[in-house]
Amino acid sequence: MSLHVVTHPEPAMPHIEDGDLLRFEDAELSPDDRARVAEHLARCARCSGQRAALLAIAGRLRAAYHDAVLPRALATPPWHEPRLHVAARPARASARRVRRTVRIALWAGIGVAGLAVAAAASPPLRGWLASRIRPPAAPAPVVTRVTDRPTTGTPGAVSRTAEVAFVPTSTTLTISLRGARGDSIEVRPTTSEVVRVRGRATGGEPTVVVLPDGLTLLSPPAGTTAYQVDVPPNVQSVEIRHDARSLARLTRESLARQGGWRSRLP
Amino acid sequence: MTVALSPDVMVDPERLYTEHARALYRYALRQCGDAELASDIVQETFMRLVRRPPRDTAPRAWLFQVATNLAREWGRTGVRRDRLDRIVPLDALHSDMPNGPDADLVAREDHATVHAALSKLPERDRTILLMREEGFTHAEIAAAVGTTTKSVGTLAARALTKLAALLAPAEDLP
Repeated sequence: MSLHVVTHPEPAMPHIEDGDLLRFEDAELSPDDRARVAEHLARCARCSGQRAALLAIAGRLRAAYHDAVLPRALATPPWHEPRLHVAARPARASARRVRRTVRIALWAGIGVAGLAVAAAASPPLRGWLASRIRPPAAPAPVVTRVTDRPTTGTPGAVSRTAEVAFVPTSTTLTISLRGARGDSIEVRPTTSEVVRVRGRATGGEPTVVVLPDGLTLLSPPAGTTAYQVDVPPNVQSVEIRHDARSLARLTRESLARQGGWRSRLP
Repeated sequence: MTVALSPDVMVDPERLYTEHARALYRYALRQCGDAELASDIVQETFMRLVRRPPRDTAPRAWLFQVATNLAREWGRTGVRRDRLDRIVPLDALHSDMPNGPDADLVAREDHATVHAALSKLPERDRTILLMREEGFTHAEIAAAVGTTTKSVGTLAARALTKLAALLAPAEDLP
């Protein structure tokens, strides 16, 4: 008697989808699925090749900036060091310049003359004209010296003082401050044209106004052109508004701009 | 310094900074390709951690989600760049570029090539790939980009395929 043996080829195992290949790589499959994929990869050149291709691209991606070094600015957390950010913008055009512009327009032609006459009679239009007159750009403020000195009471902490020279009569000087909650900055006016940045972590003078955003302001005497603020070690930058306006007005503006801190500096 | 994550859980920003700042910086650099912007993103992310710590999200995933959002907001319109003049302290005039002047020119060019290709991917694809490179689980990635855990593998594979296609023409250039 002969034995008739019939053999049937095993049904072809479907290839592994790319998504499952990555899930396999990332250990996101169940143990049973993981074993199934591993077994298939051992027998299927197409799928093992596809896996290698995906990993090659992922490797290119991994290599990009893989050796990126943390820059110096990030060597310590942002709440460790005081940082300073100084900017200036030109003051608004004076009324005299608006009037001069109106006089010029009067001689320039019918249409422009009409505009000039209307401007002379209409404060809103005069204001619109004024907003388009750009005064000459003030020189940028310059940090002339930065010094650190240890502060008492907090081991390892320093107080940073920055001297900033600016042109007081034609600029609005903004120095941005941001720090941990609870910090306040004491602002003292000086009579020189150099701003010293000095403040302290808590407290203030009886005449000090402590704002919700931590900024503390003193009313400057008439004619003052500079402010003095120490920067505590746990603040990031300092903000002071100086444009010859009153303390009350500064206070309202600072409140309105709460949350407008600018982070700063290397 | 610690801040309350919830009444029972405390977060230590110092420890989190030590553990994750470098990876976060690398992630931000890959997202936006700009060292200065990446540095700003890292600083702002950790300041937000201090000001308003996460309540229901693991801190690491939260950090990367915030950084992703910042990279999108700041990198897209440049609104973050309404810069006033920056003043560098006189004693800190060092280059902060991650690769420095002695870095390998070939490596920098490849970084630029990969970043150029990455920047052409849809934001979701880019975020999935970059978070995957940082070792996040598919569940964490799904939560970050707003999809299901099961679909992350498929989306990542498609994104890699797109990235390969974007990189391929550059490979063929003489």
